[in-house]
Amino acid sequence: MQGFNSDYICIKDPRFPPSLALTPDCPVGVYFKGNLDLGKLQKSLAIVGTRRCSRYCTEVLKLFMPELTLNKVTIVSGFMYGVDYEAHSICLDFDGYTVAVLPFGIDFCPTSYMTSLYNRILTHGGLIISEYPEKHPPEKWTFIARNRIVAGLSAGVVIVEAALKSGSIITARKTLEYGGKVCAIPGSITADTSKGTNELIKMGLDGNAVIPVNQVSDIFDTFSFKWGLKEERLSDEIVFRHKNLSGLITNKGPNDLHVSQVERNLLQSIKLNSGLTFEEILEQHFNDNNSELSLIYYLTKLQIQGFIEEGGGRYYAC
Amino acid sequence: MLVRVNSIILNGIDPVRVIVEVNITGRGFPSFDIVGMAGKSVQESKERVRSALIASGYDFPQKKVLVNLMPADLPKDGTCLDFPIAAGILACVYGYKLPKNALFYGELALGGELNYTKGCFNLGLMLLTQGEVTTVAFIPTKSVKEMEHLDGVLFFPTSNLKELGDFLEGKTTFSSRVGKLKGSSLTNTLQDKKICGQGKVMNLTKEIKSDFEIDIASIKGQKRAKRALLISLSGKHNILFIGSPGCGKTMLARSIPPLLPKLSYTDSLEVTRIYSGSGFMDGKYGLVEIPPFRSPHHTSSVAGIIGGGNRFKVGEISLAHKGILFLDELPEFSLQVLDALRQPLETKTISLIKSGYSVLVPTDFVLVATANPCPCGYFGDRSHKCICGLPQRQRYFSRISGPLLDRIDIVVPIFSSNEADFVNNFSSPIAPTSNQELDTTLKLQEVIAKVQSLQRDRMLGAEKHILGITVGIDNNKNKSKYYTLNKNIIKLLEQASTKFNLSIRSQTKVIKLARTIADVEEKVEIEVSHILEAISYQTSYLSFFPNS
Repeated sequence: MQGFNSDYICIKDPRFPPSLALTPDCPVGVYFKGNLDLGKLQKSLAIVGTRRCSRYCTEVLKLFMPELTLNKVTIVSGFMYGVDYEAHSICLDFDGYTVAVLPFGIDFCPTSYMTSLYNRILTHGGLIISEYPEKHPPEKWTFIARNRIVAGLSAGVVIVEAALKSGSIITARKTLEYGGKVCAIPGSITADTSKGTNELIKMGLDGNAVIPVNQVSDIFDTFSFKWGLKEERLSDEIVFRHKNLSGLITNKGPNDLHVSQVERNLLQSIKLNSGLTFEEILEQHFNDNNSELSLIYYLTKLQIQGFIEEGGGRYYAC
Repeated sequence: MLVRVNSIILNGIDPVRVIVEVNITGRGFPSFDIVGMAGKSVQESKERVRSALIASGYDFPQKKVLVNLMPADLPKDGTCLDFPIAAGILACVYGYKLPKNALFYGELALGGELNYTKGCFNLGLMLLTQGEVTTVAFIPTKSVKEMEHLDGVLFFPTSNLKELGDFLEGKTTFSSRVGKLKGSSLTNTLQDKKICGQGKVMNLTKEIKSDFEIDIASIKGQKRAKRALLISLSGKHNILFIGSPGCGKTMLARSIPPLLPKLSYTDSLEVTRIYSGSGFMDGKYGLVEIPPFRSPHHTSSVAGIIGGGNRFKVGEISLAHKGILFLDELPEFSLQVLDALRQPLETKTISLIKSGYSVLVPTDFVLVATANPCPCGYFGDRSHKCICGLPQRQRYFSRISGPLLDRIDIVVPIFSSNEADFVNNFSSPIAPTSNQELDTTLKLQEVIAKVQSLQRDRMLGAEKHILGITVGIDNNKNKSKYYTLNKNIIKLLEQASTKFNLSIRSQTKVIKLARTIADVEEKVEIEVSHILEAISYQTSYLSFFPNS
C-alpha cells in the first residue's frame, strides 16, 4: 500500500517486541508495516480460530470487542479468513489497536478481500508483522510458523471457534509453552466449528486447564487486565453496539426510537432463533393472507434502523 | 433473352431486395451458372431448379443459362432463390410474361414442389411497412399460414412449379389465387397497443407443456419468492433466485409461462418476425401469440445465446424477445456469455456485425436466473453441510460481474420449504388445485396483465421504433410524473443508501421497482412500503457477500 513501507527489525533492535524476544524460538528479525507501539503491545490478547467461522463468532466478537478495545487491549491475530478476519475487522470497527501476523511475505496479499483488510489495518493505525520478506508466498509451514509469533506477541489466547483438528491448537500450545493462558469460547455441541473448543474446555490441553469464557469479564479476570472504562450497558433488549449505524439512530436510547409492538415481537423472535428465514418468520408471526407484504415491510425497516441484518437470506439480530 | 425477377433474401432476419436476372443465349456451350456472390446453398439451387423444371414437365434449355443476382456485391445465402430462378427460366424459355410487381420467394424440391421456406412473414411485413400494397408475393403454399395475419398483403400461394406455369399460361386466373384478409390496415395495427387475442394461437411450448409448465398455486410456501416473481413479471424486471439445490428455484421458473398474458398484436408481429426469419414456424403456425420462454443450457456458446456465428443465426436472447429468458445456474454460464448479456439487457437490441452480415435484432426479454449460494450448493442450508471456503464462495459469485448484476433488479433468496409441506405436496403430486388456489393463479395472471398494459400505456410515445419494430425505450421521456417522491420517502431512501451503500444506479432501480410495486398495489403514488419492499430486493444479494 502506498505511503506504508515495510521496515525490518532484528531481535537486538530496541523496537523489537520484548515479549516475542523472550520466546525460545523467536525469529531473528521481523518485517513490519504501520504503527509499531510497544506500549500497546504490553496488554495484548490473541484471538484465533477456524477459517470457516460461523455467524456465532461474529456475534461473540461484537459482544466482547467494545469492552476490550475501550480498555485498550491489543488484539493480535493471524490475518486469515474466518475468525482472524473478524477479530481484526471488528477490532478496527471499535477503534482498537490490532496486530496482524501474516503467514506470508509482508507485501503479499492473497485476495482483494484480504487486501481491503490489509489497507484498513494500516490506515487505522494498526500493525502488520511478518517474518517473511516481500512477496513470499504462503506455504503450509508458514501458517504453522506464524502461530508462534502470534502466541509470542500476546499474553494469552482466546480460541473463538475451532473444529476438532485446528491450527488454533498450535497457537494454544505455543502460548502455554511461553507461559500464557488459553481461553476458549464454548459453543453449540452440534456445531462442527465448536467441537474443538468444547473439547478443549472439557479435556484441557496437555494437562493445562483451558478456561471457558462465558462473558467478557472472564477474559479480564484470567489475564488480570485492568477493568477500566466500562461501556454503559442498556438493560433494554435493544442495545446498539454498532457504531456505524444509519443516521436514523444515533447514540440515543431506545425510548427515542419508534418501534411498534409488532416489530418488538419480531426482534424478540429473531434474537431467540438466530438465522430464521423469511418463510419461517412468516409462519411464526403471520398467518393471514397477504401477510408477506407487511413482513417485507417490517424486516426492511428493522434492517435500515440497524436492529437486524440479513446474512445469506437469513435474519439475525444485530 | 433476358428476364428480370424480383425476390428477396434474408440478411439475418431482415429481408433485402434482390433482382434475379436470367439470361439464356444460344451461343456458347450449354451451361448453367449463377453469379453475384452466390453462397453454397444458392449454387446448389442449380440442381434443384433443373430437376424441378424437368419433373414438372418443362424442358430445361440446352443452352448457355446465366443467372445474375443483383446487387452483385451482396453475399447471398439461403434456398429462397430457387423459385425466382426457376420462374425466370420458365419465362425465358416459354416466353411467358411475369406479372408486374410480382415477387418470388421459395425453396424447390426435386419433384417441383415448393417447400416451406422460412422468412415469408418477414417478406410480408416488409411489403406492408414499405407500403407496397400492389406487389404480389408468390410464396409456397406451405408458408401461407404466417402470411394470413398480415392484412393487406397480396400473395399467391403456389404449391408447385406446374401451378405457376398454368397461371403464366393463362389457364388459371389471377384474382382467384390472391389472398387478402379483412381487417384494419397496418398503420392501425401497429398503433394498436391493447392486448389483442384475435387470430390463431401458436403455442411453441405446447408439445412439452404438460411436462414443463406447472401451476404456481401448486408450489407450497415460498411467499416471498412468489411475490418477487409477481413484481418481476408485472414490471418486466430481471430477477435472480439464490437457493440450495432442490429448494424450488426451477419449479418457480416453470410456473412462469402460464402466468404471462398473451402478446399484444404489435409484440406478436415482432416475435413472429424473429421466429419466421429463423425457421421456427414450420408452416404449422400463423402468429406467435404466447410470450416465448427460452431456457438454454449453461454450456451453450456465445453465438448460441447472443446470436451471430459464421452463418448468421438468431440467438436465444432474441428468441426470448418479449418473453422470458431463463438461465438456470447463472454462474455456470461461460464468462463470455455472461458479459455479452450486458449490452442487450440494457439496450434491448443487439447489433451483430460480421464480414458477411450486419444485423440488428431486438432482444427485449425478462431475465429469470437462478444460482446456488456457493459452489457446493449448500451454504446456509440447515440439512446439509457446506464444504466451501470463503474464497470459493467469492470466486463463484464473482462470475456474475457488477455490470450484469446492476441489470438484475430483484434478488430473492429461497430456502427449502419445511418437510411437512413437502410430504403434503408429494402425496398428491399433480393433485387438482383447489378452487381457491386456482383463483390465486387467475388473480396473478390478471394483475400481471393489468400492470403490463398500464405500464405499456405509460410508455406510449416513448418507444423508439425502426421499421415499426420497437428497438428501445427513451427513458428520459418517462420520468417526472409517475416517479415523484415525497420528502419522507426521499429521506428514507437516503438512510437506506448510507446503510446499504447503494449506488446512484441502485437507487434508480429501487425507484423503478417501487413504481411497479405501486402499480401492482394499484396506488397512484409511490409509498413508503413500496420503497421498503423495493430496497429488500436490492439488499438480499449483498447478504451473500461476507463483509465486502
